[in-house]
Amino acid sequence: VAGDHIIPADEEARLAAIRRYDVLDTPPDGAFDRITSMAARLFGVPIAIVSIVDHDRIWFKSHHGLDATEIGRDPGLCASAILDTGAYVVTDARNDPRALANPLVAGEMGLQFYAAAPLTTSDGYNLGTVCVLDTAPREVTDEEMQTLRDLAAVVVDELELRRAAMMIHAKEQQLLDDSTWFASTLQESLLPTTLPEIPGIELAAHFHAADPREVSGDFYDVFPIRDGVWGIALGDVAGKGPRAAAATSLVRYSLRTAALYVSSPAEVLSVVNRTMLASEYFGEDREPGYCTLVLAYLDTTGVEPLLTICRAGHVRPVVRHGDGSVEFSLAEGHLLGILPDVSFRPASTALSSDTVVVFFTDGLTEARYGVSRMGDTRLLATIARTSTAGAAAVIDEIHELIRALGDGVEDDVAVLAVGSAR
Amino acid sequence: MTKPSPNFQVTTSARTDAVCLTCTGELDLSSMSQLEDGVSAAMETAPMRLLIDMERVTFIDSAGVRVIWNAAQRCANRSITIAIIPSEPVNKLFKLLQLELPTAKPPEGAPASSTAEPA
Repeated sequence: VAGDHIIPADEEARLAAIRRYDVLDTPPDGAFDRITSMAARLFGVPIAIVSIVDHDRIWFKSHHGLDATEIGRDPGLCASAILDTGAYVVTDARNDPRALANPLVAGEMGLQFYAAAPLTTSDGYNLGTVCVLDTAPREVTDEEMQTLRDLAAVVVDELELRRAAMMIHAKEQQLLDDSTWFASTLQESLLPTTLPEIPGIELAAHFHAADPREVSGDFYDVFPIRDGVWGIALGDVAGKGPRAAAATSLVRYSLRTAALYVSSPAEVLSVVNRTMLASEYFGEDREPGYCTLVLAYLDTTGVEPLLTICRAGHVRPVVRHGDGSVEFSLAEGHLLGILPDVSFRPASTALSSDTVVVFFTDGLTEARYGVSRMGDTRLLATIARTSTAGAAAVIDEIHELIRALGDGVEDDVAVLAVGSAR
Repeated sequence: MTKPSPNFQVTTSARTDAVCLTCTGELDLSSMSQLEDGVSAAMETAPMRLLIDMERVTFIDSAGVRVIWNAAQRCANRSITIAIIPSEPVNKLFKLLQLELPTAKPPEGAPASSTAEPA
């Protein structure tokens, strides 16, 4: 129905301008409804509309006193009003050649009065109008038309505000996506992609991120030391975020390097402690400040694999014996990164068949469990229930427990189990 | 600045030469700044002694340990005597870390050592 005489010269750019506000076919909105109800009241007319002139229709963002949500883009009213930057007034439609053919005038509604101010953007596009309508002829004063222009400016401001909010929201979403991607990539670099295959040994691990947008200081690693001897490390660098990640990286690679040069796990931990204190991440008033970890040497050269556990302030690993009994490892030792002198008293466990040793971070025992916390006792009970299952099955059981605890798990959890192969 | 955690409170009482910070509830990442602020405010009054009463602390994590440790270091640097009254969870964690809780005696010297001997 749209004739050429109602298409503005800048139509393509004008439609593009409408699209950038993403307003068409959005639900009713209090801010615009207040403007139309105010316009109707100020003019003392039954109908007021905020319209957007789309390519083939006139869509109403707000329609006070009228049920329709859109009409055709017919000449005479809004479609014509956007052709000019000034106000558009039809005081007596049935005697106005510009409007008398419009369906709202000629049809059942019998519209006789129409006054509109265009919604002009700062870059000069007329998106639509704020208009007031009546079924009786009416005159308007200059003052009233100024009011209508002011209301049109308020509508445009409101549209701009929404557009800015949409853009900020989109940017935030993008930043969120970026940071999640960044954190998970960084996290992956701090954990081994696969655990090594060690003859006669079953190894399994699980990492649970409490918040995928944040990098955790929890880590684990399994690395070769010499023929038949492997290092197993699991630890927790205090804090979160990039500094914790950098410090975690420092600890992880210091462990691997020191293990190649000194012989016992206790000596390795002492070297790592010195490395940490000499770095910018540890020591007095520095972030993340300190680290706890367990370093175990797995010696597979004997008749039975032997695990020598060295604990640096970390939560005690759990030893589950072949008869289903469980106990905490008795290894003792200082946390790392705070004290200049640290000492350790390792404890050894033979990995006889059906013995599994479980290393974990405190996110597991500190998880909320109803009004209390998971605690040592409940964890021991969970591990005891695995009776003679292998390392992978124990990890599955703990994974299941983490799922069941749900939001109660407020911190990251790293857990690793080692046992003899079945 | 994080908003105060509903699960943790610090109240300060001061005498002529001593400040006592009484902590109640859960000391973790979400509440550590409350105790940090309390310690900083106490330090400004330059007391001779700082007492942190943690008897009613029901939970503490690594963030809490850091606050206490940093407070101990700051006190040591300014010759302020610091003492902690631990609750069971506080004692347990410090024992696990094998970190000595500052008691009636001021901790001697700062631990930082950047001149590590070669292995």
